[in-house]
Amino acid sequence: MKPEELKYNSSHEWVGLTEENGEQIAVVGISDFAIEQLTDLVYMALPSVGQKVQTGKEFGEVESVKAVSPLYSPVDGEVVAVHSQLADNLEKLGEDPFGDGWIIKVKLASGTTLDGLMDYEAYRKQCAQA
Amino acid sequence: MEAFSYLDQPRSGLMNMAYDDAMLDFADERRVAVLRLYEWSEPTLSLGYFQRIEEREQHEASRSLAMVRRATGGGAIVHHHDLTYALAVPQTNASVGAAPAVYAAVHAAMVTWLNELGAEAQQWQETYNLPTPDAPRAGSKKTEFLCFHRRSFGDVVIGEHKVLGSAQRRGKAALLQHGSLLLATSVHAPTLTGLESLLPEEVVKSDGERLFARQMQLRLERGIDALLGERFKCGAFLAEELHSAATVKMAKFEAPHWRCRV
Repeated sequence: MKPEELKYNSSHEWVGLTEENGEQIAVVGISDFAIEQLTDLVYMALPSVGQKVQTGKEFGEVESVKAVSPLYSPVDGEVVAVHSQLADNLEKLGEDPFGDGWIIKVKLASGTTLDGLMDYEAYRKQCAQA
Repeated sequence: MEAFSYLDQPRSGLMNMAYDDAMLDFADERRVAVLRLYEWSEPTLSLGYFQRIEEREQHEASRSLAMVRRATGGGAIVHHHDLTYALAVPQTNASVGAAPAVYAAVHAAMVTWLNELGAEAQQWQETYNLPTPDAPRAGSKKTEFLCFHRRSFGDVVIGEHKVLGSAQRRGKAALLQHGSLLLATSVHAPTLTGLESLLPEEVVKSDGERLFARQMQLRLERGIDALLGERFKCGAFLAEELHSAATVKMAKFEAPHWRCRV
């Protein structure tokens, strides 16, 4: 996915919309900026398929050498796919954060929009100020 | 932002973890920094957040001990002859990953203090695991079970012995940093060497553990003051409020899905 076409929350997760089998699906990952800040990832805990996620609530965790950091969902919905190979291949997050580094796919809850999220330009401004 | 600090009484592992979780909430919701130094009311093994429960069974020397799982990462610690600190600090919700400045401020303060006591302490400059007979095979992702057998950038070492390690957990808009200063060798971790064997004998003899803890608290406060731009005030009054919050949180750390989460 092109980073310019994605939406972002302030805690650095990105979301992009795709259509699969006639349903709108949100693909969620974490940004290149966040990966760089996290440094030396060693573990990742992911949710299960079927788990409900809520905007602003934790859906997973990553551990770097010095910190455990939660991942926060940018959308409401139900997890329909988990990139389970990531946990054993954390380097993918750094190599292709907006593509093969995707983390979960979410079937959006009815009425969920991405309106409250930042566009690429606003997100980059946030990163520049961090 | 206000900052509070206090030297707590020894508590159980569950209660200590619940206190520290409550401190993270305080920092997040009330925008205050809290530093708490403490000991453990019984020898206890604390597992890092991502460590597998089976690993503790394989560590024979600590197998009989009470066990808790920390919210922070890193390796297991045998809390027998150690001083533990927990520091909760407000952050922005846009900050991500470890906060190296907090880590560096604490460890620099500890190195200065230990050197004034006559040790030759320094911060470790590389990241790797110390080779031991149990060291993992090359290419394996497995790391040492005990925190004090691991080495990562900034760990406080005296010679080849690690004496202080720290790890963090991010909250929504705050972070919790845990650290442990190894005072002496424990029968439950006999391969480790503590300060008792590394400091000049007169220092060890003249300082009771409580006095030593008080000195450590003052040095930590001084080290973090500049970073926070705020002087620490006595936070003993927080103990009662934290106790109420921690009593509720104990169930989280007691639950099998937390203790055996991996």
